Amino acid sequence: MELRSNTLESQDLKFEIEAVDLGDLDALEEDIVPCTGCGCTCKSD
Amino acid sequence: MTTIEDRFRREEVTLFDGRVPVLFVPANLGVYCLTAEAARALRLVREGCSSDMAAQTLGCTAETVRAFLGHTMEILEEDQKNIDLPAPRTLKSGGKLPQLVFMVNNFCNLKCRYCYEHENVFTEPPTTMPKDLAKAAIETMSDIFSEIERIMFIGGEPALCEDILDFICEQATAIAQKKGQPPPAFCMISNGTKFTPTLADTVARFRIQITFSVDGPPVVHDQLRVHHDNSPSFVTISQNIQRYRELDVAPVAIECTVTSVHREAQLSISSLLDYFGREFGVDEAHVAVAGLSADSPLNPGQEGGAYHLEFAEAAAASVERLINRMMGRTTQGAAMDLVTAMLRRLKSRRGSVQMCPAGTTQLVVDSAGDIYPCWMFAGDKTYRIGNIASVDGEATLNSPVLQRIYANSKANNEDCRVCYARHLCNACLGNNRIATGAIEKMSPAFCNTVRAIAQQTIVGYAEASHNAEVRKYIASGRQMRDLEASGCDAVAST
Repeated sequence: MELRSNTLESQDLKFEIEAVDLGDLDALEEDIVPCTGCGCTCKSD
Repeated sequence: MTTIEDRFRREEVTLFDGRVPVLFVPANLGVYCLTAEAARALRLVREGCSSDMAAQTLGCTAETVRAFLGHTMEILEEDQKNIDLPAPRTLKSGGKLPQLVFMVNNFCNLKCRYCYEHENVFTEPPTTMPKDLAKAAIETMSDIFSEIERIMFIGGEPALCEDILDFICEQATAIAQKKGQPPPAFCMISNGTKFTPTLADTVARFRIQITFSVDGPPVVHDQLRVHHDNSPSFVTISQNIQRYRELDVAPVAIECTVTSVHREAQLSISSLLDYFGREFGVDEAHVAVAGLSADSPLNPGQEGGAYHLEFAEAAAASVERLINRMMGRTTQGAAMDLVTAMLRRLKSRRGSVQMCPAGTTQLVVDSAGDIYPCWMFAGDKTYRIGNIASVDGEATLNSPVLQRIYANSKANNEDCRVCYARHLCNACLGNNRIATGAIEKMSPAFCNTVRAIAQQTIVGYAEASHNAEVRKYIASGRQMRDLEASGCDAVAST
């Protein structure tokens, strides 16, 4: 997880933006990607 | 002069509230956690406030707000470099065909109450695809395309015609072998009411992955998915799923079509996911609202669309389960497969540019040899691409139907191009046609459901980054890799 962040503190207020990257978590098994319409499962992308 | 406030307002970002406020960048699937003050400042500026006004509201100096906006813009602009979207796929002569679908028949032994095929496919005389037509279809498609990656069987009900399934698998495998290619992957959508030893043999030999249509426990399933004599189907299907599982060719996949009957039975989406995990041992399930016209009494949206909240709740539970699985843990209950797809996209930052597979990665041949972009269009001549008997490769792939689909990309579609969830979504042209009458016109109910799921997935993903156990898991993995790397270096230097 990489957290690039920028923090500014002013008068007890904390202004922070932190990029989220959970790329290091285990991969979810690549399976069939659903289409969301008819209820049938079909490969996309 | 362009101010920092103007620059931020021009950025395409979406702000979500939650336990951890989130800023989301739709173009490159960037997810950023914010502190509460940061979120308030950004929201005020988005709403038109100057830094001075925002500072006054927040109780800090305008310089602080401006400096924070500057930091935010630096991060966002740096991240613009991560935009790497491929062009939407189209079917090309000489290229690969990701999926060829055979509608091997046009009849079914069930009369599911929400089935769209009652209005088109089932109005024709019952037909099973003749073997010579199936052979011609495989040969023609194999001539046009360099490779057929996957063959899918659908109907009607494909399991009622087991001979033709076996025949197509054999023919397609033989042609692939002749070309020096691996055989296509095979899969089938079945209602699960028929699973004879002959079919089991075909399934085992060609490793056909089956997705079974199950709408939940018998209390709802047997109201919706009944035989022509109104007898229930659940018990038979459940036994056949077990027979399929024993073949061990692929994990059991379940698809569930949600209607107002589920709501009447007070079965929430979350409870359905729990049920599918418990009853069928699946990690994921495909749960989608039935493609119905807005005024259909079976459309769950009739009750004011509160089911979006149900989907949101189920999506939140799914994210939690999936994050746990990504840490190698076992969890109870199934996750929504759409949430899995969305999480995978956020994690890899590879957005989905395809509207849906119809005509872009898939062609369908029906039992009369007519070619369609998707089985959901079968019988509607407006969307007929041609017929196997008269296919001319280039001309067929340049058909007005496919050109219309290509023109309706997410980047071009007026609803999709401004939707924050566009690169997480799997849309459905067939659903559009049924719900709104045109493939280009999205159904608001459908889009609201997808956005409800997307929001929960984005927020859940961001919240996971603040979870102590997730951080610990990632840090320990990094430590392990560092140790391995240093070990390798030490070996290399001796």
